[in-house]
Amino acid sequence: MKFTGNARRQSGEPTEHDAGSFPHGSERVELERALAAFRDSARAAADRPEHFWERQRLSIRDRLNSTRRSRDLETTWIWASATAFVILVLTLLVPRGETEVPDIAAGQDQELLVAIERSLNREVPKALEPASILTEELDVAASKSLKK
Amino acid sequence: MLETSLAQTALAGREEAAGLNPDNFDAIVRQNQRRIFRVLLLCLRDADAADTLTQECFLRAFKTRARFRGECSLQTWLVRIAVNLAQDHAKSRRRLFWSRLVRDENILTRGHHDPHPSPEGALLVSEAVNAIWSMVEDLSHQQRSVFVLRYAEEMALEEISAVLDLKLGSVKSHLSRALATLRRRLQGEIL
Repeated sequence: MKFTGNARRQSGEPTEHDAGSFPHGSERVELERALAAFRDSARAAADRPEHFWERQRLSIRDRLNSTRRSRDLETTWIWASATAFVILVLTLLVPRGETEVPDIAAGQDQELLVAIERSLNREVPKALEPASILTEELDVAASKSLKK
Repeated sequence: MLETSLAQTALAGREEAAGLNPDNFDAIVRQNQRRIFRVLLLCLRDADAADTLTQECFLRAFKTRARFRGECSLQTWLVRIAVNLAQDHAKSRRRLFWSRLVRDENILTRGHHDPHPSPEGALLVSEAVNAIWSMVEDLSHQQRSVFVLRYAEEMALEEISAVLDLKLGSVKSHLSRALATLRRRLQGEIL
């Protein structure tokens, strides 16, 4: 378990940085041995069969695609909502075309004027017309009896 | 010399950053997933959580790839994301995870190719490894991260400093304290 130069540094074995905490002599050898054994056991503990890594990659890919799909859906929803909102605002803001309502009002006014005109031209108010007819008939009957 | 090295690292980082796109993402995952999983497993001691967070690490890297400017290597950046995820995870479920610590000696020591053929030697190494695992369990998250990155991942101190966003002096200090604790444990148990 002898290490030199960069190989020693890269291997995680004690360097001058660790020197303050590293013992010398046999204790150092024991510590180095224990750390090397720890490193090996750590790697062994994380060792998995190839199908584990393959499944993990598939899972990452699936989650990535799922994230992308949901992001696309989200984008679509945002655009759809924004478009609907703009259409609504435009519908409310843009002035509508001419309507027929004023014409109807004008027609009603015209009819009223005609009715007033007719009323003014009458000799007898419309409400008194029956009485007027009765009076005329009485007059006619009276004149006939006088002639006789 | 140092400036040249830093410039080369930055250049390599920028090239990697430029290459971090959907087309080669699968290759990046394939290249780094073992290390990321190992770091997470060592930090959390929970295989399921390590698996989930490994996936999360790559997803986060992909989502935030625009922020990666190539100041460090892609691998360092990924390990940094993994350590941060482990830290967040540990904060919420620290006790639960550590209570599930696997104490099976076979798992903890199976990877060690014992240079000592004698049963005594094997026993000593096995005890030492268990003492280290036990010590790692008791370390603070920061110290554990430093220790694991240094002695399990064999990362250089400067790289650990970049991963954990710590000053080099702090990394040395954490490492020194962890080693001192380890020495005391080993002296008490086997040395």
